[in-house]
Amino acid sequence: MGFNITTILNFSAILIMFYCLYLALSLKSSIPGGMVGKRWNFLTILVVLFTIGYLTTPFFDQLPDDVLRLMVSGIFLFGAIYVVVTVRLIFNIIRELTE
Amino acid sequence: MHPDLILFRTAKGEEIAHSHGHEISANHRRALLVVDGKTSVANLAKKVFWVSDVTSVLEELYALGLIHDDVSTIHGQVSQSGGAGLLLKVQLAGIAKELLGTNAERIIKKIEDSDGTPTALEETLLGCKKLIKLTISDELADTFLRRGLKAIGK
Repeated sequence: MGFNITTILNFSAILIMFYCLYLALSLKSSIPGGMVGKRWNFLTILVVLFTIGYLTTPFFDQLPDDVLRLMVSGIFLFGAIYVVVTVRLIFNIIRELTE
Repeated sequence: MHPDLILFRTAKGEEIAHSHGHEISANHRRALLVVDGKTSVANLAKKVFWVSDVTSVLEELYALGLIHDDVSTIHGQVSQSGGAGLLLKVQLAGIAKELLGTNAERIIKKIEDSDGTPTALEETLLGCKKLIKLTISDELADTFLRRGLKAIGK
């Protein structure tokens, strides 16, 4: 694992994801339920999954190609689900506040 | 004691404020009488020159349970200025506490910050309903709004 631009990007992504995990967990107690609370649990699970996934990125060069492709596909899929849930959540919040 | 705190007389505080007994000193009684459920501790300390060491005296009254900063803890007759509005706020805070338990804190804060007029309280209730629906529970939001509107006669 050489120290190059890819390594810097990977570590930055991991740090940002940990910060995201910290935010998700610290906000959890303020949102016990309701429309946001339900989605928040799901988003927190996705953030945990992403954090675990991102932690494996420094070892990608040691993984077999098949496993690597599967992991990247998984990250893309869950990333897409995360974006859909977030956009729908924002949509529902705005609809609720403008009712 | 935080300077932005708004203090209210408790039922016990009300009783002692209007009695002529010797439960508290004259200085304490003067401090108790200026607590109006509207003025912050900082403003009381600035304005009330006829009470010596206002902040310490307020802390002592607070420790004696004669004044409080949480409107939802005050039950019974409220005869301070802003009377009817304050009584409605107390009722609404009570409903919030009963329905939402430990999650009622933000809702009670919104109610406390509202003007005491029925129109302002109705607007606050609608805002609280949205907040409850988004962050606590859909069902409780509707129940809170229904009971709140009934309490303010809407």
